[in-house]
Amino acid sequence: MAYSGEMTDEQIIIRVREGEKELFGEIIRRYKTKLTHYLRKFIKDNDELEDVLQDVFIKTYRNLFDFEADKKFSSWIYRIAHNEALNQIKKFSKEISLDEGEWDIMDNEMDVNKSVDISLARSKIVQCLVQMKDNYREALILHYFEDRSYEEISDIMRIPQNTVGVWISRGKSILKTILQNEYGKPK
Amino acid sequence: MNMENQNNIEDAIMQEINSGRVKPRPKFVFLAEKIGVSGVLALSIIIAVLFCCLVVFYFGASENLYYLSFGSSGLWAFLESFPLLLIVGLLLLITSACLIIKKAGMLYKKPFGVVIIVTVFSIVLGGCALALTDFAEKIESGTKFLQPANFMNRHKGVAGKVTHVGEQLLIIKTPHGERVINTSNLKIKPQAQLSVGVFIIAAGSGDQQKFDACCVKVLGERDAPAMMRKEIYTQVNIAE
Repeated sequence: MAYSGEMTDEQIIIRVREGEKELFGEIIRRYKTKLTHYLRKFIKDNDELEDVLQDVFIKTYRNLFDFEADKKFSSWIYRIAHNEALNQIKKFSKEISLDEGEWDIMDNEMDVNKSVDISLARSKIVQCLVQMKDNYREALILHYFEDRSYEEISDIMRIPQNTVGVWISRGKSILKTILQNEYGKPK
Repeated sequence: MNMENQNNIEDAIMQEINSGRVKPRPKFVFLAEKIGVSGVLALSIIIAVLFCCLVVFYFGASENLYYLSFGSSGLWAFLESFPLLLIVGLLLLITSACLIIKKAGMLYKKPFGVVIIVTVFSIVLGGCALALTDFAEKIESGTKFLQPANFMNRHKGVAGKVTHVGEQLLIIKTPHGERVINTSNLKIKPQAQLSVGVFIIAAGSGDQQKFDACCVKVLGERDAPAMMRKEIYTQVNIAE
């Protein structure tokens, strides 16, 4: 029997379905930090975040038989988290949370045509992302913060891959425009 | 949220799972959901194809489209017997099929515009193909409720077989009995001789008994709409 740490997510899920429910703990361990990080972009309050994260794992467990084992588990669990986050936002009609600390990893990939000073970009982007439409913001977050591929984002957001590309590219240019409008053109 | 909280979550969830308070939903529930959604989708598409088939059939087999050749005079007659209910039903079914595809997350890898175009195209193609068979005729003869309102009993248009030609009047046999047509106010003269036995189509206004025609068109027997021909011959045969 393989040690659960060596097993893929999909293998673990198959085993959990077969009755080894303790193995679900491994799934929680693997995803709790990632999902906390992801959900933090939408929910600022710690207690609320904790509740939503718990709901995500419980829904994942309840719907285990809905998962198609030939697909990627990470996309599926992110899809559940994505839906839960959206529900939470709708439920409380709140503005999304943008904790500056979470934006530390705003990477160099997010090069808005070198038009902004990277050292200032982080705090400015924090302010600007809130002003963007949900779809562009989410695509940017998933790609640049959660390091998801276009295919995974397509599975999480249930949109065609081409649309993912369009949203990311458009999101970047909208972000650039907002940054320029808010802070002026960099010298 | 710190590491301690994360561990608490793990413990809390595993406790719920181990105690049996949280259980995976059975496989058949998901299977039933999938079958249900697919079934509703398939049903919407099948009914849409049938409706489309009937629309094509009515346009092909009735004299409806002929009225358009009268220009504005025939427009009202055309609209009077337009299969509005079928077309509205067809549009609703297409919309519901597309919404099911979208909401159920089917084919999300394809652009939704393409999905809509393919769905509409498939339904229209299926409907046209089915209209080529005698399937629509069978449905039409069995279920009159699907017929357009005022079908074959219009006030702005009339069609039938001439049984009498008089001074500025015609008597024609229609599927709803005989009708007298006043031809004294014709704006457009018929292109062929009006004689007993020919099929005509006229636009104008009138009631069950009398009809004031503003334009009359003579149709060759082969050009006469199939449904009208059939109804008239059935009546003639019954009378004989």
